[in-house]
Amino acid sequence: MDVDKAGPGPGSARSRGRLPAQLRTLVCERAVLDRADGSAKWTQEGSSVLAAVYGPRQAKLQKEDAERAVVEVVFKPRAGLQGHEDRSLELEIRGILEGVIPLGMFPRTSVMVVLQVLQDDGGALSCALNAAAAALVDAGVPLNSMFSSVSCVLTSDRRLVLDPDASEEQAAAARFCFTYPHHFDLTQAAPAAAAPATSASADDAAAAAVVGESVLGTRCVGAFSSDELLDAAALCRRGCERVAAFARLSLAKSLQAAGGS
Amino acid sequence: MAAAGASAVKVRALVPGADVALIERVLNVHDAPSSTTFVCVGDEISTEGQEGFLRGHGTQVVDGKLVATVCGVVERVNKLIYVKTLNSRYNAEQGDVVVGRVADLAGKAWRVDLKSRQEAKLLLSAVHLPGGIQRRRNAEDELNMRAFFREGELISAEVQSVHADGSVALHTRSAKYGKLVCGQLVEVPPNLIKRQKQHFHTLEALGVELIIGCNGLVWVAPLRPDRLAAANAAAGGGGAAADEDEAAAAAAAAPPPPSRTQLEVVCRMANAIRVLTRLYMPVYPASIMATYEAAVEGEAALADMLEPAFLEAVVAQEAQRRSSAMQE
Repeated sequence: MDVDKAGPGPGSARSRGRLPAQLRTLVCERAVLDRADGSAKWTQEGSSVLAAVYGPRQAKLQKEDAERAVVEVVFKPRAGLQGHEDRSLELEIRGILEGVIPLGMFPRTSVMVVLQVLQDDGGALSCALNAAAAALVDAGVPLNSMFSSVSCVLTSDRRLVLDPDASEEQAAAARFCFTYPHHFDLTQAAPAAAAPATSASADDAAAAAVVGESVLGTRCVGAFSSDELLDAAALCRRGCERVAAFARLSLAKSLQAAGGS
Repeated sequence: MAAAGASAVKVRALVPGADVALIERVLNVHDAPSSTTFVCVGDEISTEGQEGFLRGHGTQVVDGKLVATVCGVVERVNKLIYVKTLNSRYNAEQGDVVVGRVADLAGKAWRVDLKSRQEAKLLLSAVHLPGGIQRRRNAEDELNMRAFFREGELISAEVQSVHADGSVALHTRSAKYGKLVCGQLVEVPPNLIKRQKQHFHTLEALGVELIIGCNGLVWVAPLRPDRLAAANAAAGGGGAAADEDEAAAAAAAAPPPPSRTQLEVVCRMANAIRVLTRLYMPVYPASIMATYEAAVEGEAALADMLEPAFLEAVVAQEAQRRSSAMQE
């Protein structure tokens, strides 16, 4: 299915003329909290999640594991107490984080990730996972690879639409959230002949994001066929490339502002 | 009630990036480009031109290539390659002087919180017993452990060994280590503390004792006669028995409570360390003294030392010091 085609048609008009495969504006603020080891606030236009990472630090005796670190995730919804849905999201996020953190490196410690939904306009799980990735980087927790997450929905006329907002999620036949690991291929960065002040940013922008083939985590709700699932996976993988490129740019900016010493 | 002398508590909103903006404003630079590029998680670190290298923190070997596991700046010191992050927890090395808080008593050991990844263990057999130096610890010693250090007390110690799984063993086998009372504790990011020959500093002219723990906890206290004797005894070395009797005698006589001027000096030193932390500048005796003297000469009030005005003065002073050092 041709998702890059814009234009009028039943079910294809998105708010403010967004293309079906277009992501919302991304904003990432790092080191927002004082007492946490690492923190980040990730915003995708209407959705915003604040992540705080505490660790690796001494685990409680009942929870400690003598051979590996223990990952604890707390997912707090925007309003109200935690429900069963939030606990299920905690389990999902914990599984993804256990895949990227080298647990065997820190026995008897615990890494606690607290996610607070500040605004929810669709795609809260993706927003939370991206915020957790940025917070882990801010905390200096060693990771096997970076990861990024993107949501998409299957509309009632069987079209895939990337990065849905709340109204699109409500009206959808099925919702998907995919998380992919990524790394950067620095050999593709062409040496820039620009002035020294911009060469650093030019190198980083040219470094291509290479998203892994296999998925770190998926969460699918609704009725869909296996072909639609594979198409959604491929579409989200392309979306993750763009999120990865943005995350690296935002990290470069924040590291430069803090000083290279 | 005369309210002229009493100053109200000032509440300031936390603005992330305000300190960086302050530094940029004073130095008149905007969006200064960093001279070193950074690596991200999963980026390969080049080891060309280097046969044999030591892999440090923040790296791992994947498929024969050296790959970064954290986002930061690559540092190369001789053959050691590691990735330095902006903030990270303290990693203990053997021989480090640390300041920690006793968290728990377990069996024959105290568990000490060093603000690191794991709590460190201080074994009963590794503690300096008063009176006899080497003697077998018996069951009575074990029952009297709380007489030494209780939960919640601050102690200074040295790292005896770091095991393969990351657990740290401490010892206080010298008169200069032990319980810390009557002073101020300042928490500093461990990245700002450089390992040096001396971590115990007795500034007799000011009457202040300063302990710069490698784990980022800095202890500032008014200098007490028994601590001065202990420091001299540790420095002196030989004749240990005689000096320890002296120290014990001095400790037996309760030290007089510190005077107001002494307390103000201690507060000013602690604030100087807090200023260095806000500006993310290395914390070592020379920089602390420079900031302290700038505060004294500028006659900055104790409460105003963390205001932007004084911070700007410190930044300007440091910039001048570095430019004159570079010109030499």
